[in-house]
Amino acid sequence: MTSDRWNRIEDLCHEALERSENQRAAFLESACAGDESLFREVQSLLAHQERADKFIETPAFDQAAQALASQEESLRPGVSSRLVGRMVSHYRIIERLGHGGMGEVYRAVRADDQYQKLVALKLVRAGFDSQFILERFKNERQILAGLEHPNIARLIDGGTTEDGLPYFVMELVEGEPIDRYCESHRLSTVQRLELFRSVCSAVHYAHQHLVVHRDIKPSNILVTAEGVPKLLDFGIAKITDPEHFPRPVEPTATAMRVMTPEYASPEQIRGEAITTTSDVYSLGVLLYCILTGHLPYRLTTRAPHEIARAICEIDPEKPSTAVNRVEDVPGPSGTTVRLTPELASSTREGQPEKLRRRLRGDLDQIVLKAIGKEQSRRYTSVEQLSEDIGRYLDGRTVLARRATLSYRTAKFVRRHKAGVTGTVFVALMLIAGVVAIVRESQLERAQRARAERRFNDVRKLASSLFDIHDQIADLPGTVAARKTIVSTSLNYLDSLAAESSGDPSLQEELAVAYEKIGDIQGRPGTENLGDTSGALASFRKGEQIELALVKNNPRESGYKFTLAGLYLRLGHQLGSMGNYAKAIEEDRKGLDTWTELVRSDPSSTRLQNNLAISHLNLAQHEEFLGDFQASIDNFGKAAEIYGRTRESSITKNAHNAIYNLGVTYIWLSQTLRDQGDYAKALECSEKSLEIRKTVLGWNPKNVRAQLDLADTYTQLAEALWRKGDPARAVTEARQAQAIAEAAAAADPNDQRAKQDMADSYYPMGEAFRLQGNFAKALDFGQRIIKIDTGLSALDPVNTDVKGQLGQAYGLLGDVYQARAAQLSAGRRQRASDLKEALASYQKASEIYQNLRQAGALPYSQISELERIEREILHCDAVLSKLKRE
Amino acid sequence: MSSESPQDVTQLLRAWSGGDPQALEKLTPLVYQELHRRARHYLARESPGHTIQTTALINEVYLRLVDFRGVTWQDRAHFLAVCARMMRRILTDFARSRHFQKRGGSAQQVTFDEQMVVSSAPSADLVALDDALNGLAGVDPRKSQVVELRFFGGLSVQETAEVLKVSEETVKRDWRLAKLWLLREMSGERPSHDI
Repeated sequence: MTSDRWNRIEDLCHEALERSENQRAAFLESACAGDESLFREVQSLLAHQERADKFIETPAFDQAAQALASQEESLRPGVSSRLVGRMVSHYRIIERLGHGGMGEVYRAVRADDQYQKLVALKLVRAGFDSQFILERFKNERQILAGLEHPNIARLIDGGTTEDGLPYFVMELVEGEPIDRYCESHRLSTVQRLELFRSVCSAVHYAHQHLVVHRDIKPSNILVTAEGVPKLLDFGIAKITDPEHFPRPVEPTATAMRVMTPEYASPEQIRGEAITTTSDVYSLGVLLYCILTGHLPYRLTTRAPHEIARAICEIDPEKPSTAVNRVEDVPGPSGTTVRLTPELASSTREGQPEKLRRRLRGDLDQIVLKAIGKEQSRRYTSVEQLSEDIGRYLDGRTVLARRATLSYRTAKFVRRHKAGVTGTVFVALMLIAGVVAIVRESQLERAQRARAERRFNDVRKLASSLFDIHDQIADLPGTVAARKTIVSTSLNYLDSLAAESSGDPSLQEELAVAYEKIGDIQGRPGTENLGDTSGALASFRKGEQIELALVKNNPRESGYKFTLAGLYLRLGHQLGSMGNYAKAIEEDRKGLDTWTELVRSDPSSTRLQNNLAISHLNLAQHEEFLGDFQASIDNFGKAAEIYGRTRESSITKNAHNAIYNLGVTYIWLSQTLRDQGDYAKALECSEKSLEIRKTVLGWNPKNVRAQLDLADTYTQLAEALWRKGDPARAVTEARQAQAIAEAAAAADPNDQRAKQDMADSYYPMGEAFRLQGNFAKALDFGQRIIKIDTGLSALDPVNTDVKGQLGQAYGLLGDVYQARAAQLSAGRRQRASDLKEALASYQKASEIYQNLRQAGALPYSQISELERIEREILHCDAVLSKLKRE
Repeated sequence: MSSESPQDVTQLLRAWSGGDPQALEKLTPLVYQELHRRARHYLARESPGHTIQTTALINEVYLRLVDFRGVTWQDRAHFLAVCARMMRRILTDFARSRHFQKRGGSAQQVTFDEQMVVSSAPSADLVALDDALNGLAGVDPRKSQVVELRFFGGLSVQETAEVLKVSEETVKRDWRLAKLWLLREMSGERPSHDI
């Protein structure tokens, strides 16, 4: 239609409207002058004039509000409905009880029933009979038909009305919503928990029948006069088995639910997949509310969007803290109640302080675990939640309590994986957990069960350390966090050790805790914190405690086991500090104790393993002292034990045996190499390489396994350059270099990675020297010096690093000397290289001398010191000769 | 009201008119909240037939939602237009989600119209109206805008004239004709083939 024509229609309309009604027709006829279509057009518009007066004069907003009001009005319980008095199948409708998401519920009676049994009859709500709603309604009926549980309203009957609308008949539940019931009956916290567990059993039952309720809130749980809670309204429940109900949730339904989201889980709010743990969440919020009277979040309004944001973003307050809030909460029949700590406790435990005490600790943790933002942090099932409450009621240790620390650890690990470097912050969080335990122990001290409680505290601490250690030790970037943990934990242990006496089980726990801390501080060959002397001190403390225990309880093999483990660590530790004689003493004590233990229980692969480790330590230390025969002998015994357990034991022990066999071959190859048997050394390194590749395959992200492999490549390269194959030595050393550098880059605090980096540079430098590539050889030598100097400053008593530093200076001296000896070198070049060589040799000599004085120079390096002394004399002589010329 | 201050709402409105669809999502709950507040108001008063005068009401809503102090005089007009469009979107969606006044097939059902005693005016089906309004925009965009501003935006004749930069007389004429057109459209009895 052209705008001209539209303008014409418009004008005619206005002109006609200015005339009285009975004049309009005549006016239009003349005005249209035979244009029939124009006449009809204007006429059809004017036909609506009467209705137009009031049409859309009220703004849409007001109109919507009015409609909303009348809708709510019509849905108030008891409001008369045209259905009241009518028959639906055999049921006479008595009155309206309320409405669910899409249905209306009526009180009804079965008319042909002589007992006049009252029932609840649910019909599709007026005006809500879209295909979608009808589907949902049928869905609910189908779900209810499959559920028979004392705490779920039972389905009695169902059918279709004369108008073709579905209905169903349920057991009539007359009662109060669970939150009101708890208040009006002034239930104690324990009673509330018991009532809540009945609800859990209903939800768990539904879950077992593949039904997720998805709308758990107080108004859907009515408690009868007999105190039996009944779960109602499966209106938006979902059958989790997609084969039965493949239809996705319609977005409108989700949007409508967001209108009252207090009990919705974060994933529900975000519209993500909803599982049984979503019900765990809603139950957690319900528990929170019935225990405290508050929602988990402090809110300024109860606007849906604000609640939604809180649910997704704000960490909930502990229930024991929430009861301190003064907050306006919805009360009975639409009123608002100002909830104060006094009011909340008056219907629960009496006094606010009593309520706070009741909630603090276990209940706080249980509730918080149930309402974790991430599904993986919650109880995995409703049953688990219910059982934990049961544990609390029985006075046993609750799951949620332990989960706090592992949760923190897990969170830490996640954060780490995301590459966020917040290590110090996270360390403080971890410490907060440990400190909380400490403080608790101080509070409990005054109490009757003090010994037992402290025992538990120590055990908790020790096991938390195990947890943390095991979870983070193999990850890069965790060193700073672990350092802080250790220093705090040590203070705590020392104070406990000073006070504890005469309680063997507590002492045993203490000794184990010291052992664990020592491991974290500086157990060689693990991702330790590089505090060798600290570790030794911790092991000694543990040893002292354990020695007394064994002396007083000679028949307890458990104490011997711990003691033997400490000997093993002490030997290892002393060895890494260069004190081989002392190390061998500890090794022999350990070997004796393990042998005794194995004799009493020969079938234990664990004991066998430990015996083998003792042999290994001893072998290594003997080797350092130059007792090669004894050393090779002990290596052989260890390999024999591992070979046996590898064949005979179950997976985990077989893994251990394989792992240890890898270590044994490496050490053996070193011994053989030092004796000049490079071919055999190479053979052993290759065996180790194969084993360590297998080990890494079990867990490719394990940094320790990665570095072990790097070390093996280094050992291969060491044998190769000495054997006279510098090209292959460089190839193998490059592999080691790549692994170690990546690990060191991932965690700048990882001393082991740095060590392995430096270790890989050494054969590389030697190989380049042999190839005449002096620049590269010098470069690698200097890199080693830089790294080892740093490591040595961090851990001054570590003689291994010092020995390696001496070796690197030796390498530099050799390279400079070789360069000076080149035919092409000029006189000046020759003099300057010789000076450098001399200075390097002197450095090396100084380091070795110091080690020898400390008794920490391995036998194999004594000859190296002698060689260097000769080189010094040689360089000196050549230099003087050059000067004279 | 909510933690969202009027300034925030003003920002959100600007963002939305600048093409950010998420801003509307944030505004929607605020409008719903006002809607429920207003509905409770009606329920509490329980005086059927009473309607407070209309533009006063919607102005109150805007004042609660929007900080007009942050709006300069020359873009106030534009701003009111944005408000009206927001209201249209939100209220229509609301009606859609609530199945407002949507009659089912069965005769024995209680429909909302029957219970609309609070207002003597026949209530419009917001969803049908929204559709019809889209049709009108194709025929006469200014008339469609007049309806949007007055009905959804709750603006007075004077404010509508100001926004559209036309005379008040034009607004009145547009309003009158638009209502006829919409009623005919919604009645489904449109005889003409070529509109």
